[in-house]
Amino acid sequence: MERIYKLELFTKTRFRILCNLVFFVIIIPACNTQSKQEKIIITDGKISSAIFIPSDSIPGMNKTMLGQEIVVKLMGSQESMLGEYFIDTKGVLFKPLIGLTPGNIYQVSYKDRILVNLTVPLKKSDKTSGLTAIYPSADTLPENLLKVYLNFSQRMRRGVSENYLTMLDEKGDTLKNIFLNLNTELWDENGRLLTIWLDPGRIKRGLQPNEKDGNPLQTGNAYTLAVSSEWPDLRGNKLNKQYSKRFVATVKDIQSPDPSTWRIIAPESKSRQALLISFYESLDYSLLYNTISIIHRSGQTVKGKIIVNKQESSLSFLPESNWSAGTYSLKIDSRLEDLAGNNLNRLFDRDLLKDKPAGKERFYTRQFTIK
Amino acid sequence: MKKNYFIIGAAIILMGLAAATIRSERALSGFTEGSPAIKSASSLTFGPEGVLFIGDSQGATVYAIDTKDSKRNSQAQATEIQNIDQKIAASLGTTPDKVTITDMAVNPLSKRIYFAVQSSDGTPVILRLDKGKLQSVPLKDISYSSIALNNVPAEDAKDQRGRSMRVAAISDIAYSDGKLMLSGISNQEFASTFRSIPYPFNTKQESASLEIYHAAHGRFETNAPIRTFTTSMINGKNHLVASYTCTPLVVFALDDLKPGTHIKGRTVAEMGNGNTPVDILTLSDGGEKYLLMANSSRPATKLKHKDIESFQGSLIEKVTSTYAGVPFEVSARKNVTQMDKLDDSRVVLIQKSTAGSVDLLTINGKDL
Repeated sequence: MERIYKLELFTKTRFRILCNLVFFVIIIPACNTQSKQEKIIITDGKISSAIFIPSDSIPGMNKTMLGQEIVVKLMGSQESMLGEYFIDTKGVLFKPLIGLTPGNIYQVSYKDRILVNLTVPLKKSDKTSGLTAIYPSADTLPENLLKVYLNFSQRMRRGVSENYLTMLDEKGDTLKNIFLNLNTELWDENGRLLTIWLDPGRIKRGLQPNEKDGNPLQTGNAYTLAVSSEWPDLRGNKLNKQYSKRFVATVKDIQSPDPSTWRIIAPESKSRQALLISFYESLDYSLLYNTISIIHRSGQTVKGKIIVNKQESSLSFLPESNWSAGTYSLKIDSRLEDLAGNNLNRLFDRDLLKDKPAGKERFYTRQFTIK
Repeated sequence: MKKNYFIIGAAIILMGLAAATIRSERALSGFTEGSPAIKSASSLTFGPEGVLFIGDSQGATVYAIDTKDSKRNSQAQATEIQNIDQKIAASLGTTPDKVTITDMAVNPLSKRIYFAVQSSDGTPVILRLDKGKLQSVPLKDISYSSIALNNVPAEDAKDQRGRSMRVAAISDIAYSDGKLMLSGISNQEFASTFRSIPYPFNTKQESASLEIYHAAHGRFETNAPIRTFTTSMINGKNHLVASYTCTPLVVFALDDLKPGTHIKGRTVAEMGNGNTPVDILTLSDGGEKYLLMANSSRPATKLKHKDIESFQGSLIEKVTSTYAGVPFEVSARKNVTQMDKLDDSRVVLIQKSTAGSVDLLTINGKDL
């Protein structure tokens, strides 16, 4: 039995603010002697955010007794839940510190007497949570691959990636100690893009993890990066399926990207055609969006949009306005890296005795002309 | 006349005492009343006067909140709670798999233990233990101040074409001598940005990038993010002691950390394979100071200050042993996920037991 109500119960200001957030309430019949009473789970958006106890089920209740005589616990636990209590003539509203968990049963007691056991309904998964991309997107990757990006369609639960992300070898066995275990996962501000490092201690020569276990990936071997369908999003919905990416490891990349070798295809003037840049190798997906800009000869940055394509080996720049004829500069921040973490100035794993000294340039430029 | 002096003196003492007792009622310098929009509680540390610093990785901000928990407790009691994860989860009305204890800090004045907890729906929560009972530390209608973290210099060329792909997180924070220190990690460079922020907050914050040589050889240099750090007096000078994500333990003289500089640290130890440092702090045993480092998968380790002080070289020679550099003692205690100092000799820690329970324990450092 489920009814939907508009909630206009309380007059106190703070209460009204809270109730303004309420979209609908689900009435759940009580299951004990107070069965005529109705206890309410209040839903704020998609989160069950509060429990309302009508005043006629808590006779004699007053403000000084809040949190003492009226107690909410997770079923089976001795621990009282923490949160805020609000009281009005209509009843008491308990707002826990975090949303109520779907599927859990909450026990509301008054003066050591159980008033009701409330079950928060499980939500049906809307199957909208998926993994939309794994970067790098090529299927042949250097054995000193440094980073993987996972792009989800929904905000995902944080701090649990190690439970749901695995790297499998050709036999399907899970490889151990392959990812860097960070206490703070690197999610973007939207909570959808996660950066995963392959353990740099195993990639960098001279470190004990490298000397003992070797590189995480070995040239010539095939691997599968698997993302479990059990990974929940912030609403508790699991992914709509299991995702995997199969790739083959190839020789180490021990060369910095070199912009002087890139191919630039200039668009025509008086058009909004894309400027095309081919790198002839896959570069870091995330950095490509932050390290490349187009500068007009006047010194002004050309406004436009970057689209990374062809397995991150090329880029299209779409200007906001028509190109005018003249000379432009492609300005590249030296932070730009390839898939092995080598940037324009230095190798990720640099041998001080053999490799050339690290470059000092902050930016590199290439000129091109639009006719 | 003498009597008058006595009365005036007594009045001044009384006023002083009153001022001390009502500290919690007056606002701290630069603090305002309100409800800060804390997006995540990644790291905790205490400053002076019961001020709790909350590092918010998601919001790229550090908050200083007045806990009004500044009464000195000189006789800290040991706390032991089995299944602390279940207790915390139940106080939030959920199960341990739905919450993550992101950090733990002991208030150095009251000795109460504070927890930063991230729930599965993303809500950050701060809890504290009071005589074995969990309490919520309010984050609404409180006295607080905050500072947004400046972009590191490399971020100046801001993406003007849509969302920023850059993610910057806080890996650890610590307070010492009027400065909040913060180590950062980004998804775009495998490097460490270390910031020093004067407290009370003003607009100033200084950052330096720290570079280290790999252990084992002096042949490879590297940039890497700091995982956890502490400050400690070594050879009479204040040093930053940092544990890196790729295992070496490195010391930097704090005097060398000048704004905008690029500094190379001295690697004093490589802690072994698969090491994941969790927390590092200084304790003393019979007047002898030592560093204690807790690890999530490997056993906790202890390094004597006098050994660090007498170790002058960086690890420039190829080593063949599993561990290198300054000798250290390996404890039987492993799987520690959080640790903070209770007093000079004891620590509070959260440890996963062999039976699988997650327990809060108070341990004397010498017994580790």
